[in-house]
Amino acid sequence: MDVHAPEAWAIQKGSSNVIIGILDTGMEVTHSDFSGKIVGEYDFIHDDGNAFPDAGDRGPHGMGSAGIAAAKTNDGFGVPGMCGGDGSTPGCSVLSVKTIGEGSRWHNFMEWIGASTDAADGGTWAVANGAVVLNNSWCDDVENHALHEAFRNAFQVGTVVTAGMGNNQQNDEGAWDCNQSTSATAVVPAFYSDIVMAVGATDIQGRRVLRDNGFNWESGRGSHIAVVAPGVNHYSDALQNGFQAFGGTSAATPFVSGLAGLVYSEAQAKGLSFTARDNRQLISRTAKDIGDPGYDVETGWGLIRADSALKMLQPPNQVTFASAGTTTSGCSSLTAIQTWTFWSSFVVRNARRCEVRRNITFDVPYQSAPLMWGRAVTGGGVTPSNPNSEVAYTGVVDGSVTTTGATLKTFVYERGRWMVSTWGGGQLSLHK
Amino acid sequence: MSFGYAVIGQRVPHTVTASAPSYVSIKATYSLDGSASYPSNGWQWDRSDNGGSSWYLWESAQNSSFIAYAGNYYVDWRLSASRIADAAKDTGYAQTHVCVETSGCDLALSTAVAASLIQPTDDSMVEHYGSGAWLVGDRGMGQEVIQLYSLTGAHRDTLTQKPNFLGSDIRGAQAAGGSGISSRVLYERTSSAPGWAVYKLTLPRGWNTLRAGVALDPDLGARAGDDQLQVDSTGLVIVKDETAVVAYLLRHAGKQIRPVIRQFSNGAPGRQDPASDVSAAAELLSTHDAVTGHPDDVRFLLAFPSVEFAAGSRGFELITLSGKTEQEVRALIGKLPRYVPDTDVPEEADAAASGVASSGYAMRLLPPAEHPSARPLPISASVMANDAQSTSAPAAVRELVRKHGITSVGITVPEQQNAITVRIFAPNGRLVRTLVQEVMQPGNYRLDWDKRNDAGAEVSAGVYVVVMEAGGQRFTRRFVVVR
Repeated sequence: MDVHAPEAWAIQKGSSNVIIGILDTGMEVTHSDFSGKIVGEYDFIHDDGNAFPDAGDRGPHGMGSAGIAAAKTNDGFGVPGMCGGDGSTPGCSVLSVKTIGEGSRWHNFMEWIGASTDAADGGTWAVANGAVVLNNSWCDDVENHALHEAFRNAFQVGTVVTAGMGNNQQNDEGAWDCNQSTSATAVVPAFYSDIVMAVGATDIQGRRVLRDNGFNWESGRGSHIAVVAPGVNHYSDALQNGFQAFGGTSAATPFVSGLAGLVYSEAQAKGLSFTARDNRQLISRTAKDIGDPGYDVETGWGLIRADSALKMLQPPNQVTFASAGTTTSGCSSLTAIQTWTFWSSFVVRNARRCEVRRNITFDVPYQSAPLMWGRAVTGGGVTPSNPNSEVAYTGVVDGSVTTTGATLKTFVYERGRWMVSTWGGGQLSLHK
Repeated sequence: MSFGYAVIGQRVPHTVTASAPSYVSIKATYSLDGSASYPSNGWQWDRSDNGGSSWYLWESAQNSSFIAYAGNYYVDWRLSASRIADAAKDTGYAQTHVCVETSGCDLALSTAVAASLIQPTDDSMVEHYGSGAWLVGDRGMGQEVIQLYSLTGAHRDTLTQKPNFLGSDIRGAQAAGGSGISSRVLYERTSSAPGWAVYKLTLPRGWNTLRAGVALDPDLGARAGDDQLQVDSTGLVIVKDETAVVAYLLRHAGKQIRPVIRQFSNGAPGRQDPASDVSAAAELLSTHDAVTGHPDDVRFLLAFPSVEFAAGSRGFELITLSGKTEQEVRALIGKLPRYVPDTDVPEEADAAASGVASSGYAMRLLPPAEHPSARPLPISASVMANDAQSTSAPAAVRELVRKHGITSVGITVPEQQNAITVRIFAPNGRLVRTLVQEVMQPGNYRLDWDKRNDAGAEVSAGVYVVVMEAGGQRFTRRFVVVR
């Protein structure tokens, strides 16, 4: 089972105006599969403008990620990237953002745990340089406020941030590396599911990669997963103008990044003002449902379908963005007082969450229930899981969409007086 | 509390019946150039529902209905005739305006007929017919005429600026914004150096049939002995002096698709000068019927049957035919070399194979499409200089080897060890040499082939296919051995 890229390419092959930032080990900018595509590079490990990978067996990792996302396609050389153009056209542009290298924690421990502070800087730099997609084929089991802030800001200004669900492998010391076998063990950046699109991996049968099916690793699971993409049996670019086999959620993630680039390219071509949430929702909601029916914690919304996402934007379908004004109703539901992470102040507080709903009626009915998702608006509520991270949010109540209307929802929080603890500080400090 | 949302779907439509201009329905006998008449049953109307960005091709749309949502629609009608392919489609339009669900205009219809309707211009008609190549594609959604470009003719130097009507950029513009022909066969001139015409042939993905052919024009002469065809690394086909007649002979899975030869003569009684013999050429192209010709002035049309293409197997062979009689052409085509016969060569190997024709002309296949099942290789190719400098090879072959030939492959074995098999097959499908068949540790390897078979004997000149299998996938590249 694949993502049906050729059918998608019949619609859209990627625009050079759409820039994908590859936060990884750096890239070989002279690689033929990227000639004319790399519009900038920076090494955040050594703080210089040369993001060529450091020596080591993980050095080609960045090329592998970038190759799947955006290597030139149909150019008679190398591998095809999801957003790779069509031989004569380069497809999406690429920023090489080296956030993993000799000075990073990954290097020091010879493990694949990333360097999230460098990634925070790199992500901010990439967005400032025009990236509308940030690919993160890495994970780090240390929480990082700066990273959340950087990626939240990226998301807010329209950048789709992707991240791997992790391969749930043991490292050389036998410790579990980026173990995301449950939601409770989720690690960053995939953990930031409100703002990051977490990507799991499937095998060639379209199943979640599992040890039970003969693999020596497993695709991470948890309620933070968004979608899955192929994660085995890929070839991608490597150093010295070469190629390598490339797998894991590191490979699955750039499939989604590349598709996000295609979606932005197509939205651009259609004159649609897509936000990062729009892009993410379109990809998620057009995925092929696999695993348990509907959304599930192992495969999210399912295996991405590049063709379905792009076809959704084609006539006779019409894309309508609208706002629904205000509601005077109260809470449709109200949680008990519980602890929530208030990201803006980086503390955990007691609060109650109130769900506010509003029914809407379409001005013109649809032939069948349309695809629908909420869009953030000024003056609206915030997400159901991060009360005060300033991520505005509107959702659609499950099962409410009909041919004539739907029910929208958003969330507001009534914050208690109690601050439970500072995040990660280990000090319980109660404040009245 | 404010809410926002996005909705994507097909809204309940209005059905609008938009009639073509009344006199169109007459379908009367109509003359393209004022001197010839055609049966009426070849004409029909194409319709576009959104201002020409997407045409419903070959549709009898005299009174057809279409779905209209809120907004303004400009329904264009254009006359076309299956008999002459794309000939008249860009020559004139009628337009119907439909306005739906907008203020002051509820399902109102207004009609304006363009004054230039069905008035083809003379020069566009003249430009095409001489020698020329044509390509017709079908993408599975009904027949779609894609691109037709003239190889020769008075306007050859302005081809890029002003494609003739058969390769009209109008069509290209429609393709850019529409869904019908957004993937098109592009056959365009990329250089106008004196004495040479360079054409680039690009096949998009997704086409499941393709036909191609050439109208021959011996009037323009041919230069025997010249290397009329060359291929460079970007897939360019180089036609020297524009006098060579080039046919793109389609292959699929090793099978050669042979053309049907049609003949006509501009010197036949009652026929006009070639430059203005529009009707004869149109008839030829539209019906493929042979026209009895003058024995000293013979033209040919090579008509290729529709061919099913599969990902990774599309490709072309180049043959040259010029200044021949019909019998000579038939004989020549009958002797076309078979490069990769149907054997046990893996299909990928066959698709990637290329060869050197016995005539001395070089050929190659376009790169296989990027399909998940045919991902390109973890192989880097390089050229051995001594091969390229071989003086015994024809110039065109040396050029081919210089640009395409490889004598070594580089392999990167990733982080986990892999069972790697690298084998080399001869053009006839026979296994020549097993370079590697072992589990390889991670690292970078370079494999050189000494051009010997497993028995240690040197192989003969020709094209060999290297097949690499690793990780459950198979990839191919080719070696060109020149001696």
